[in-house]
Amino acid sequence: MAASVAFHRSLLGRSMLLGVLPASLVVLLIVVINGLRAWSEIATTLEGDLNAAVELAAGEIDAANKRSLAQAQLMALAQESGMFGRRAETLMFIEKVLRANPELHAAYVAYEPNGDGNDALGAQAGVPTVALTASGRFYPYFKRDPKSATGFTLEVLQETENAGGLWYDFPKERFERSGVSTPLITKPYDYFGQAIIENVTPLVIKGRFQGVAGVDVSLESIQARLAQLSVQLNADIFLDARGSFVAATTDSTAGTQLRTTAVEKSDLAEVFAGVPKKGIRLENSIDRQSGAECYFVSTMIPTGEWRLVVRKPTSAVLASLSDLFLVNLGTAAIGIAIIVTLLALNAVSSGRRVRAAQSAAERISSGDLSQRVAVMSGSDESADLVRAMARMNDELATIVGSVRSASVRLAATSVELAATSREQGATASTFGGSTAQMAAAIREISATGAELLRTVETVDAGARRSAESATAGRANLDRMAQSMARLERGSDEVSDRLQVISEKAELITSVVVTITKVAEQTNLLSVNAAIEAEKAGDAGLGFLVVAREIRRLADQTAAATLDIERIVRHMQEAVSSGVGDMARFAGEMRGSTVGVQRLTTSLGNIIDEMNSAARGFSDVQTGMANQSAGVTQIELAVRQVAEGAQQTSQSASEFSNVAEDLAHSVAVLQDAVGRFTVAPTASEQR
Amino acid sequence: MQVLFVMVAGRRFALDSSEISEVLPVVEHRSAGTGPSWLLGLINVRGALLPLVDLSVIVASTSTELRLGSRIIVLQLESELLDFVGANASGSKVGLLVPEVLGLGDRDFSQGGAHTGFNFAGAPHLGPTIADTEGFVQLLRCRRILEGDAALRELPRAAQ
Repeated sequence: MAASVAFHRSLLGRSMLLGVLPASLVVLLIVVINGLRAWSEIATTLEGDLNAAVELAAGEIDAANKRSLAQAQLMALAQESGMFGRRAETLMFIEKVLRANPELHAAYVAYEPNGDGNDALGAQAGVPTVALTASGRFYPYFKRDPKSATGFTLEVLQETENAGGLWYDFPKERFERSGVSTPLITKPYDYFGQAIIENVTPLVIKGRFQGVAGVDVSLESIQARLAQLSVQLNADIFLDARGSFVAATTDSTAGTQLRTTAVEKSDLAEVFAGVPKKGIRLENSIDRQSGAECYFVSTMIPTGEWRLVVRKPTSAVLASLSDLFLVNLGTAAIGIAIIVTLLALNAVSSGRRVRAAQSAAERISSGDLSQRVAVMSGSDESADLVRAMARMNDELATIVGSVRSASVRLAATSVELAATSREQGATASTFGGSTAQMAAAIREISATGAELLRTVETVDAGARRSAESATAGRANLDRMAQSMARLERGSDEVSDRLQVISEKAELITSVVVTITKVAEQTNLLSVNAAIEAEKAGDAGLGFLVVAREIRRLADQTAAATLDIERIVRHMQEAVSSGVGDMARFAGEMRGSTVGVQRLTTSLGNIIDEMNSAARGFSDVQTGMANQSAGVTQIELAVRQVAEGAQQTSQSASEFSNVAEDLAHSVAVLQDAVGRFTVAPTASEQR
Repeated sequence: MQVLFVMVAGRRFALDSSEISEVLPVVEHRSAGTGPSWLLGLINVRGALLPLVDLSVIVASTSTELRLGSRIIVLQLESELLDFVGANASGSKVGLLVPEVLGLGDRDFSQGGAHTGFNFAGAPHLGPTIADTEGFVQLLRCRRILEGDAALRELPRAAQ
């Protein structure tokens, strides 16, 4: 099997690396950019909102202060405008002011001791005792009282410990120091169980300080207003009223603690120190109280010189922003997860098919064709690949099976062929020896025939010369007689030569008989060889083929000897006819020779006889020519037989070499095919 | 199986080649002088003397006429009864004179079309007959040729 592929190189890994990673990065980038933009926009908006809210709160508190201070000024103006000293009317006026302004807790007027010169009068109509001090000083204090029938109670003003001249001595000193009547708002203090803030205005009559007029505002009402604002803004509000806290926080204990702490000593001291004289300051810093990062928005309230701080945790401000960011991030994560899942599914199925194809290819390359490749479902290229591998495997198995069975058959055949060809070569060599013997005998015949022909030609020439001589002159009869005698001797010689030819022909016949016997013996030998081969069973199969080949050769030899026999017979017939002609010629010659002495007159007859003799020579010559042709034919036939044997031997040798080459090639082929293992085919299983 | 075809009295027979030791040309034999007409005498096969039996007498009741194709087939007889033919170094080998040996060939005598042969008690040497392209041919169980009536009736009583 293949070595497992490193994940970053696998199909799945590549899909993740090249597809999912860039997509994830892009999505992340978009989310981050959008988040940053939203952050800056929303932060700006929120800061603006906070500023606006602080401005609103500061404006409201300022307006309330102004309204309260205006009542105090109103009462002061009334005193300065002629009401000073008219104590009964003043009391009525105070009560009416208190009635008309429900936000006020109390209202009062305080005169300098005997400032109007009426202290000695004491109580009188419209001026009860409770409005006067023991010395008769006009010192009335109207306050709201739910228990009273009128809803108001009149009592005398009293100095309290913690007020410390706050509402009387302090404005008096200010006026006497500056000469200008300035209304002022005191810091909160406790007046008989009621935390209040006083709005005081000095009474200046004819340039002299004659007392104060003021209204009290309950700290609780300011507190309630701040609490409302706190809920609206969803923020903590801290109010520094001249060094004292008025706090409205979502944490009530913190608010209570702050109210008992001096601003300079509290955790918010630094923030309050940084409040500007004009405008709004917004800062973002760590809150010492909670330790969390918060927005602090601060401003100065002009009337009363109060300082207002709104605190809101940054986390609350940015909660909506982080929610948006989280939603974006979650959507992106879900999208990427879907992409990863789909890509992984596709890559896993493709990878499985590719691995199947890979294992099939490796098995085929190692030569194992015995297993079929499992065909997978699917329509993409990888499935096509697996199907193609399956087809290739089947085709290869079929081809290798065919080649293997063919090579086995070839091997058997080549061994058989080699054995056969060797045997055939040996037989052909033996046969070549016999033909050589035959060829020698034939050459001898040929030589004899040629010699004979030369003799006959000599005789013929002599005869012609005799005839010419006879024709030339009868006077040459003696010479003719001598010629006749030479002729006779020549004819005897011809007869002798013919006899020799006849004997040689006999010799050929006997050789032919020998060859025939050899052929017959060979035939018999081949039969016995075949019988022995049969007994040897399968081992003798090759030998059986050899035996058959030998028998065939023997049969061919027998046929060739029959041809030779026939040719020799023709030759003998021709010789016999030559001998007959020669004998007849010799007899005639003898008769002519006797007649030459007796019948010298019969020269004409002799000339005739001479002509006749010339014809006889012609016949002899024809016969000799026939014989010569016959011998040539024999020689040709024998040469052909010898050549045939030589060729057979060479062919057998070459054939043997070829057969061995074939056997070697088949061995190589079998070795090559042996590398492959193939599942048994249907026919082999049978 | 491989068989040797022989022609006896114009009829073609086949001899199982595995039963044949060898085929020899016709050699001179020394006449027995007496005895059954199928016993011709002794022959010399490379120094071993074997009885020579005339197949024509046993198969066709005529003596063999020698010709060019005549051969002597040497084989081992199966029968133990036939002591009288004489012991020799080769055991019970005999020579069988046949008028003409035609040649070798492969024939199947157990094929569907074969005739099982006329299975007479007196002729155990005659086997099944088949027909091929050259005509009829009968299997000759050559090892048992001396067990049939044709051979036995000429034997002396003592031998029988």
